[in-house]
Amino acid sequence: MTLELIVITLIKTAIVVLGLLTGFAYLTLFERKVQARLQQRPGPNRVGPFGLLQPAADGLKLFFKSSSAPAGRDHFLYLLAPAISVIAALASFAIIPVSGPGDLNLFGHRIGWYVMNVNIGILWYLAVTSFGVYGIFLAGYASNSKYSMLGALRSSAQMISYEMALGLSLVPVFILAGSLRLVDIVNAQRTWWFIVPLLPAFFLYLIAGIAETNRAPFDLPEAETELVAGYHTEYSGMRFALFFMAEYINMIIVSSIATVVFLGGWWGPFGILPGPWWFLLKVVVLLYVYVWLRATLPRMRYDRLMALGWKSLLPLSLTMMMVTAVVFVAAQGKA
Amino acid sequence: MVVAFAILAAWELVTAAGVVGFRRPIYNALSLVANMLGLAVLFLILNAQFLFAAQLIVYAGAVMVLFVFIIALLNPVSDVSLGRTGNEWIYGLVFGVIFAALLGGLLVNRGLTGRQGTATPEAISAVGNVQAVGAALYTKFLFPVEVTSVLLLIAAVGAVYLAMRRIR
Repeated sequence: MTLELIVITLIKTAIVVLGLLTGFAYLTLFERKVQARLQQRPGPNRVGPFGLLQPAADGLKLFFKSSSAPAGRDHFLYLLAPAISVIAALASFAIIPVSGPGDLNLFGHRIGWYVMNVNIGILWYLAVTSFGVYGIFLAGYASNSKYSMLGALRSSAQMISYEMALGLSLVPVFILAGSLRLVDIVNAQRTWWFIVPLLPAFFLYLIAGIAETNRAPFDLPEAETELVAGYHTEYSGMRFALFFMAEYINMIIVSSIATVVFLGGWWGPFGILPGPWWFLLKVVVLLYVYVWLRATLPRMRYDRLMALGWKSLLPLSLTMMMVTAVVFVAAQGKA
Repeated sequence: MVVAFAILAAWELVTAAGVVGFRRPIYNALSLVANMLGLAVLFLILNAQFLFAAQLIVYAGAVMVLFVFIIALLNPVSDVSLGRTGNEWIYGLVFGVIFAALLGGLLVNRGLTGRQGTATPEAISAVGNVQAVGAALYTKFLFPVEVTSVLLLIAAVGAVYLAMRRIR
C-alpha cells in the first residue's frame, strides 16, 4: 500500500462522509416538504428562501440542546450505541460507485468513483449493516427504560428477519452479473438494467430495504402510539441526532444500492447527462418513494410484519433465486 | 503487516479475557462480539476477504445478536450473584492442559510459519476471492458441505418440533 493510495482513500472518505451528512440534512427537509405537499400543507418555509436553511437551524438547535440521560443507564453502552449506529451507516457507503465507467483522471492520478472496489462487494454492505443492529439494540438495553427496551427488541427482531430476504433478493443479480463487485454489476447493465429481467427481485429488495431501515409502514420500533419513540426514547440533543442521522443515511444507502444493482447505476438513456447526475437522480426518485409510502400507508401490525417477512418475502426471494439460476443455466446451455 | 498483526493479537487477547472476566453477561457477550470482529480483521490481513464478510454476517451479525437478544430479554441481573461451587478450576485446568497440548502439537507439526499451500494471494486474485472459495466448496469439498447442511437442517427441524410441542 503506497502513501498515495492512503492519501487518496482518506480524501475520498472525507468527501463521502461530508456528502452523506449534507445529504442527510437535506433529506430531512425533502421529506418534510414532500410530505407537506402530499398533505396539502406548505411545509417548512420560514428559515431562508423556501425553508432551505431549516436543516442548519435544526442542527444548531440540537447541537446546543442540553443532553439529558436516564439515571439507571449503563453509561458506557449508552454512549457506545449511537456511535455504532452512525459508523455502520457511514461505512457501508464505501463500496458504492457513483459514476463510471473507468476512472477519473485528476492531476495525473487515476481515481475511481468509489472509496473501495473490493472483490466481496455487496457482502461488505451486508456485513456492516448487520453490525448496525447492535447500535439500536444496545441503545434500548442501556437506557434502562421499558419503552426503549421494547422498541429495541422489536427493531432487532425485525432487522434480523428482513436481512435474510434483503440478502437473498440480491442473489439473482449476482447470478446475472457473475460478480459481487458493484462496478462489474453496473457495467453488466449497460444495455438492459437488471430491473427489466428481475422486476420481482427489485420489489422484494425494496420492501425488505424499507423494513431494514425501520421506515413506514414498517416503523414498528418507533410506534409513537405505543412506544413513545422506541429505542431512542431516552436520548436527546446530539445523541438523538446521531440515531436520526443513521436512519436517514441508511435510507440513502438502501436507495443507492438499489440504483447500482437494479437501475443501472450511472448509465442513463440517450447519454444526455453525465454519470453522477444519473446516479443522483435515481437515488432521489427512490427516496421520494420512501417519503411517498410514509405519507400514504398506515403502520402494520407487528405479527403481520413478521409473517410478511418470514412467510412471504423469504420464500419468494428463494423462489426468485432458483428460477433465475435455472433460466440462466438453460439459456447458457442453448447459447 | 507485522505491526497490524501484533495490535490485532493484543486486541484478541484482551477481548478474550473480557469474555470470561466480566461479571455482567451482556459485557461477556459484547466482548465475544469484539473478539469476532478482530478475528474477521485477521482474515482480512490473510487476504481472505470472503471469510471476513462471512464471519461478520454470520457470527457477529446473526449468532451473537441472538445471544445478546436472549441475555437482554431474560435480564439475568439476578444471576450475577449466582453462587459458585468452588471446583470450576478443576475443569478449567483439565481443558486448559488439553488445549495447550493441542496448540503445542500444532506448533511441533507445522512450525511457526505454517506450510505454503497452492492458494497463494496471486493465484486467488487471478480468479477472485469469492469465486475461489465457492469453487473449492462446491467441487472439492461438496460432500462435507452437504453433510453439514443436513446436520443444520436436522437441528432446525428439531428446534421447530420442540417449540411446537410446547404450544400443544
